[in-house]
Amino acid sequence: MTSLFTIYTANKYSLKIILMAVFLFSQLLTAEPYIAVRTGLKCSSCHVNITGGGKRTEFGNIFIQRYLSSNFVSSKGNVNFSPQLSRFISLGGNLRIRNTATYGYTHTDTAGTKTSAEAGNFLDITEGNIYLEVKLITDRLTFYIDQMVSPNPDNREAFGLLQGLPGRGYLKAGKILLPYGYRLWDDEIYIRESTGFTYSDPDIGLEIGFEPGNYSAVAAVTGNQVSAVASWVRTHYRLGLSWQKATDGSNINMIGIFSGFNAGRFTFLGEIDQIELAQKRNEAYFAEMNFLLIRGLNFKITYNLFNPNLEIPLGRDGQERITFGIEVFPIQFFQLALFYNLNSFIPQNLEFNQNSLGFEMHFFF
Amino acid sequence: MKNLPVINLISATIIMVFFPSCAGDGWGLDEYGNELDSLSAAPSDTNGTPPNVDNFEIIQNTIFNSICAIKCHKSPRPKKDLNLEDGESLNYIVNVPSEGKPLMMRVKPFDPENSYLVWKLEGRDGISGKQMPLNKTPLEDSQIELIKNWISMGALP
Repeated sequence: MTSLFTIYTANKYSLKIILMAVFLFSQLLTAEPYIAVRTGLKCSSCHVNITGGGKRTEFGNIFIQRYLSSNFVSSKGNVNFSPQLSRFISLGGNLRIRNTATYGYTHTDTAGTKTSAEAGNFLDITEGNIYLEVKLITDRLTFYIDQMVSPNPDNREAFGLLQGLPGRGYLKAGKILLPYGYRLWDDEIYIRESTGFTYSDPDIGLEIGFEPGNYSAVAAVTGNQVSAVASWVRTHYRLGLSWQKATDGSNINMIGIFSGFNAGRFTFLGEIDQIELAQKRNEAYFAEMNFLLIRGLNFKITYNLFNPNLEIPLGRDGQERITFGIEVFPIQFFQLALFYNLNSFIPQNLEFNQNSLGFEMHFFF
Repeated sequence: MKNLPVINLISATIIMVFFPSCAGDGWGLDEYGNELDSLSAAPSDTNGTPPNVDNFEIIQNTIFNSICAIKCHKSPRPKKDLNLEDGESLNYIVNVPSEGKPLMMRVKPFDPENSYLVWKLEGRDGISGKQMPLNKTPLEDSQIELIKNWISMGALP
């Protein structure tokens, strides 16, 4: 495979690519993963699914009640809510309701012809999931279900998890979200959409992982691909590599690097992926800066860049999105978010030049 | 370590200032970002049969454009490297090996029973992944029949 971080010395964007690389590597800079980077914790500290996402652990539930929100509204007796139905069975859930307003966009071609994309407004349930965790043998054997109930009923994950292997190892088998890069909740972020490692792309397979000390190594095998992630996690920074190879004869291969860094109230994430398809290669870039003003109030700027075809200079076919957002956790189990997406693509494409304003309510436990 | 937040903020600002001009100018490209001169024609009609324009246009307009290419199978990041947008779809399906079963073509002209597209739409045993459209109501029988008929007629543009 060609070197991942190809520098396009022949075009005027070389400096920008280099700056991006500097941003990622020289300071180890690098969605909800920002919370893991901010706290210096592995995904498995707060999520039952060791590679992140889905149901929270008991620690994760205490964390979202006592440390994530700006206020703690106590129930009678000042006790923490517990999602445990019994000592061995517990539930979890996520519900996101989003209103997106898209702005109109007009393009005038060289002949003076105008084409327009109309403004619109959409109200959606973007995530409605219920999780079930059954601890068959505490800390050794777990039965886990991640069921989407809205907008369309469907099973997202269903696996058995065997823990306690040497090297803090585990084995997971069933329908799983395959490991690759940061598991961001927004499937439309370029690094997730272009690689196909999204919440809407689970597969049936086997996953094995080891988490000794500050290290983590995970590999998964399905009927048509193999993917693996290796990462090094320290309190203030982390660095990881992702890799994927198709095993079904199709020529789809990927490699990526991701990193995260926390400094005071600032938290940075970054990821670059190169995707090799049958007919072309492309690259996706992601950089995010979070600023925690006070507990429960986070400002976010995200930069996304996509190079759809490495054979065509980025200056001709590049696509980018910059997102400015505010996230508020006013009370436990509740999040409000306001995001403005600044979209830019080739001017003749109307849809991907429409900016949008999103407002989201998120209930979770 | 004390100055790191300031350094990081400056770095991020530099990135944000420099990068927002990276969107392409679109020169020599179609609206999906493909080279205009490389837009290969759909498979040619080697038998001299008049192309069944209406049939495919209906499929493109009522199925591909309306269902498949709204969010997933569209530029610039078509899912599974399968672009079903207007003007692109034929290049990605006719006589193109499928990802799920590389020995099968997505569309094998004159042979709907051995066209992987039909298998995926009908959710047959042996497909890789889920029935399409993903997480939506399956296509109506009449819609699948339309596609099968089109393939039986040679999958012409």
